[in-house]
Amino acid sequence: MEAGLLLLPGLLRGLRVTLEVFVLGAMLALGLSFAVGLLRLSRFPIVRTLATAYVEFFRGTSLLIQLFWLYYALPFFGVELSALAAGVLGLGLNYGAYGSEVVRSAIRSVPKGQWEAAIALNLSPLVRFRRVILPQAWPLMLPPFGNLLIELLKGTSLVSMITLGDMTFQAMSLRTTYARYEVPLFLLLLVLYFLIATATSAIVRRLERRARVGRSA
Amino acid sequence: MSVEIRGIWKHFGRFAAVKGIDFAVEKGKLIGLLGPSGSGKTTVLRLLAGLEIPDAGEICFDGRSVTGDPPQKRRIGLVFQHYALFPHMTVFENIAFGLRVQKRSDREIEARVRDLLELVGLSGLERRFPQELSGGQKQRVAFARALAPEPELLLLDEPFAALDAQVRKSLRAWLRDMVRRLGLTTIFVTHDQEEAVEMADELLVMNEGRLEQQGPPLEVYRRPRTPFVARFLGESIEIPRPSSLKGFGHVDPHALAFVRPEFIEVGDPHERRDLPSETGIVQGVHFRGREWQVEVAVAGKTLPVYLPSEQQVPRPGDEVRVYIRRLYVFQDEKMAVVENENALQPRYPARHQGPTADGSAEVPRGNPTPQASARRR
Repeated sequence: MEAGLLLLPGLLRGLRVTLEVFVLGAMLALGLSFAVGLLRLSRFPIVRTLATAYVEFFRGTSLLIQLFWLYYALPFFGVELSALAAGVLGLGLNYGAYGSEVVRSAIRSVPKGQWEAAIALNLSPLVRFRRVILPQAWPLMLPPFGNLLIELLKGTSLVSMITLGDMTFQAMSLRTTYARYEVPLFLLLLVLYFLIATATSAIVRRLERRARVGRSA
Repeated sequence: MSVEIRGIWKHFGRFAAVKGIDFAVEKGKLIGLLGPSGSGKTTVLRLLAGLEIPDAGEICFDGRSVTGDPPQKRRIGLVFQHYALFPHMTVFENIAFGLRVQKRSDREIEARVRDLLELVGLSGLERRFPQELSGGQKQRVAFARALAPEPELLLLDEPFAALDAQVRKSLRAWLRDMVRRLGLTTIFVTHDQEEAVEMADELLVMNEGRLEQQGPPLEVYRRPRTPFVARFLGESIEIPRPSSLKGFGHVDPHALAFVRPEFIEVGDPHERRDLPSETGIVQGVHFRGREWQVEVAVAGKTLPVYLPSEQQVPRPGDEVRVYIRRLYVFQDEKMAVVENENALQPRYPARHQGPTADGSAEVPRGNPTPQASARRR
């Protein structure tokens, strides 16, 4: 009880930063997922190649190293980012690369007949995508997106390595001050991450249910 | 809308799916594009729809070239084999969707959708989603959706292939009547001969990317222009060395000859031995509901003969007399209907009265109608 009262205020300060990084990183990742996923389906080989290069680079290198580059190495090239900006950008770029594959495969799994039926009904490419293809691809994207969001949440713990005061950073600080409460400290940290992950899963599941209305499950 | 195709070629990689075909379709006709799998019929339909672009040749609608036009500029309605209804939209929204794109008013859309639902016999189902419908209902919604924007050409890709036999039969009649009532030029792809013969005003028979024959079903059935058409439409059995058959000594022994079941009569071997007939051995007898299929071995070939179900039939192993009244003979790119030179009158009681292949009033045994013969394939 005493440990909780001592440790919780510091962790809750970190929680605000974790949620900020998580939400902003998720928004950036989602935007990039759609943008790059669609670019990878482009008719133009050069566009596809550039999009693929981005995906392969960010999937093929460590998130931690990417964060180090954004925060510690870019200033040598005259680009200085705040810890928050570097954290959000690193997470967004990394998980956006994974998310783009989710978008691409979901769109490609919409039957060819649906595209052709939309073409035959005189729909412009934008209307075709927005009104016919996306509503069918979206329910297919949600479960893997849910997984990616939880991965991203866990990835936020790495921003502590670039001096951002998230929950993990706060826990490491508290550990030096209250060494005897090490076990309850990390147990509390575990519970907080788990609660955010559970809430995220619940939101995604609800979105899935809504997206499935009017379809056979 | 009249349709004309001139010298159309389409390759997929090095494979030529369509090889320089030409045909013309009059306004308001119901056309059956018939052929086996891989014959190029679906590719032709997709070329007409604008979903594929030809490598060479021209496609004209009402005399105007639409070869380079995208599908949305062609005023076509397209119905797919597996319906391709939008699963996230209700029946009403599916049908109304094309109209919303045309920026029609809500009142106009409402009225048009109601009319179409009535036309296809689905009033009251507008709030349902596609997965809440039966196969036949889905197909009707697909027709309604294709008809909603008032196309001038309706294209159907194997429209009944995914349905069971009973539903298929009723929908065929319904579609034929509906299309005729609307006076809409319609081209449907099928590999089902019975479907093609029953529905179409005109058949286009395709094989390996080429158009083998075009014409009314009866004409195509009775006067096949190529051996492929003779084999594919109805039931034809190739006869090696036709000159060895009694009554056909005048036929070139090297010609390609075919016989249809309705050109064959069987009888008791002990009666009328003066007939120019062959001796055959019954190989098998199969009950087909309305008729018996009797398989008779004659001159090294097994020939099918159809007898009414109430008639007494021979048993396997029995000897019978087989009289072949006519053959289709192909030689030098030409087809001739060759009659048995010994007699032109039927020798045994016939099942049907009706015109024969050459239009005379002679009575063939078996099924003279293309529908009946096609049914047995």
